[in-house]
Amino acid sequence: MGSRQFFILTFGLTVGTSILVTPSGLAATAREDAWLGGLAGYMINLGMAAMYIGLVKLFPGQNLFGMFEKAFGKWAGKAVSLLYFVYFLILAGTLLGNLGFFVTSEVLPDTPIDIVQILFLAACVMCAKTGIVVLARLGELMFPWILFFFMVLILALLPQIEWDYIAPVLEGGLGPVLTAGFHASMFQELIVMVVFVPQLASLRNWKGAFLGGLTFGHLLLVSVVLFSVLILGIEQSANSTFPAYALAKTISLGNFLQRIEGILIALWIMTFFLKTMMLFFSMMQGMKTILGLKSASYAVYPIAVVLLLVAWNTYVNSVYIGEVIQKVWGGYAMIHLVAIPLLTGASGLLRRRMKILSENAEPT
Amino acid sequence: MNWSMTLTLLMPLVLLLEWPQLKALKSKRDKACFVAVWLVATAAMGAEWAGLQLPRPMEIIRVFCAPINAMLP
Repeated sequence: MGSRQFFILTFGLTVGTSILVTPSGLAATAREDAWLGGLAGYMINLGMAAMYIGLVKLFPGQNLFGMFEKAFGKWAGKAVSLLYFVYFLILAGTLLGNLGFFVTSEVLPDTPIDIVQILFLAACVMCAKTGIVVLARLGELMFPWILFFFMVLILALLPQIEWDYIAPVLEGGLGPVLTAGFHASMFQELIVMVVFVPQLASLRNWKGAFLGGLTFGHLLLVSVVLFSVLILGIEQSANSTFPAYALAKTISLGNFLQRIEGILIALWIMTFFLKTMMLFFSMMQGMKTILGLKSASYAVYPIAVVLLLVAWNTYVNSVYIGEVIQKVWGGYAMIHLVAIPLLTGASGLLRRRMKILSENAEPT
Repeated sequence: MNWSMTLTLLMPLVLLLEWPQLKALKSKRDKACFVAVWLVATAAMGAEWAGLQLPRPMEIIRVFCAPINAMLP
């Protein structure tokens, strides 16, 4: 995998489902400062990315699961890796549920949700069988189209901007902005990319690709949040389940260019697919490392079936999932995105220091 | 259509399709792992077909993460 592909996969992971879901949460918490909340989320994610870069430097040649074994010992490391396997499984299942809910509520209302999810999973299984390099190449093919669709969306929305909607700025102070930013940052899961660093062909430009993908993804996200506030206004942005989709539905240029919300759906499905596949590959890599397997590709079908069950039992309805995201997900994500990586880094630094001290103490 | 029934009945086909690949690996550990994951997936989908209420992952997470979530804004 090359650094350009790594950039695109990081971008896909950052945007993923966030483009559709986070504008609503940001608008509900930070109101007119939702776009500032998006920027705050970006700063928090930058901090987390710096921490992950530090982990890669501290444990050269190791993927995320190997780092845990090096930092905490074999069995404790495997236990921590198992926690991450479950985290990725629940996250991927929730994303799948989100996909089914969005498609059946906005696009195909008479279609059973199960078939939408199963069809999507069929594509995921095909990709999982072929390997990460095929996904990386697919990302390279998709990326220009994602950019093109996004530019069409932005340019078509420009005439509808109402600058008054963004005022007053920082009326509630920095508190709501930082709270909104924190909650939004728990949805990017950049730690997934640490699983794939050892698979890069060259480590020369990986940091730039990682930070670039994160930055570019956030540029897209903050733009969508900003346009949601500037065009829909705060009430509709906060109360819509999918404000970005509502935004795309407002496009009407000269009574000619209309009903192009399909563009947003295409953009979202592509980034969603990239994110789901990264999680799928992470689970397979986790299984391989935890259990010491020669391969994990035979487990693709059973894992897909379990993913479907997680989707059915997690995304029960939009009210339940809204409450869970608000009250449960933040703490759970923080453990995996901040707390455990910090502990891993601290353990790694301590072990390195002890090794240096013991080498210096050896009699000459 | 009852998808949980369809998927449960398709699971033996998965076993048949993947077994040659597992044999080629010549690893008892890999075979055991696959059988374990396959059994979990089949049992869970079978339970869904039978109409049994499977545990909701978010409720389990809610219980374990309650102290941390109480401290967050």
